Amino acid sequence: MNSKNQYLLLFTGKEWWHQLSAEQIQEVIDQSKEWYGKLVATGKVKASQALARESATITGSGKNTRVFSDGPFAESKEALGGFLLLEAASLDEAIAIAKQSPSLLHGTTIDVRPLSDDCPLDFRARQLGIKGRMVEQLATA
Amino acid sequence: MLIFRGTDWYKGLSAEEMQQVGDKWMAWFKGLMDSGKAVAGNPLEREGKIVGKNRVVSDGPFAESKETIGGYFLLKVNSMDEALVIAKDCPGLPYGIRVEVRPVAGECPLVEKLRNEAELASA
Repeated sequence: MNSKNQYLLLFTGKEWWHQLSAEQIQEVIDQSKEWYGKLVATGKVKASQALARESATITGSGKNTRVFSDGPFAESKEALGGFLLLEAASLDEAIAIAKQSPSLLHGTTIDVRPLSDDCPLDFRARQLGIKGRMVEQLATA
Repeated sequence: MLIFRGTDWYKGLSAEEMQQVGDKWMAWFKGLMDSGKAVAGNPLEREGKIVGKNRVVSDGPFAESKETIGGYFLLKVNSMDEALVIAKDCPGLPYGIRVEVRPVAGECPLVEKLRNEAELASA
């Protein structure tokens, strides 16, 4: 699979739906279904998930391992809300798709990140003059 | 979902450490895929764009940062606890990588809100 044609859309925002009435929420659901439905019909959607509003963050290792648990998030907390993995011909196309997401109207920001064939370690490896790939091509779903 | 945050943790690694971490990471990921506990994993390019308010597109602040996302795994496990145990094995942790563990949602939060309001209204 050519990772270069794949882009990850990461949706970050607060729980903006709490500010809306039931009718407004239904309207956004309908708009989102339409946007998403059209996208699925093009065959460009490889994966998508909403994320639950709780998290754990792990740092350190061995005796220094720390787990910071959070959740349920406060409504005002900016957090990663979900992702969409798309197939697109270019970053510009992925951006054009992201721009049509109804969530943008409610303060969500969308990071558009190309998938990489290289592990981030390869970046450092090149700085060190190490030739070849550090990690074999990772499999994807 | 495991979200790997940080683009500076591997900056100071020597060539030997690089190889060790790379080997360990590959073994970790392969083991998870083979056992069916991971269904996908991908690193992300260091570039990208952000679409924000009024659909304005800006360059990502992807300079070295502890928060920038470098990649992700999608796990299939039975509980948050199980995901945490797996996350603690991340070979980047001794060097300062941060692993965010997020459960995927059973349903869209907007749909959940409507359902809750309907339940309250009919209670």
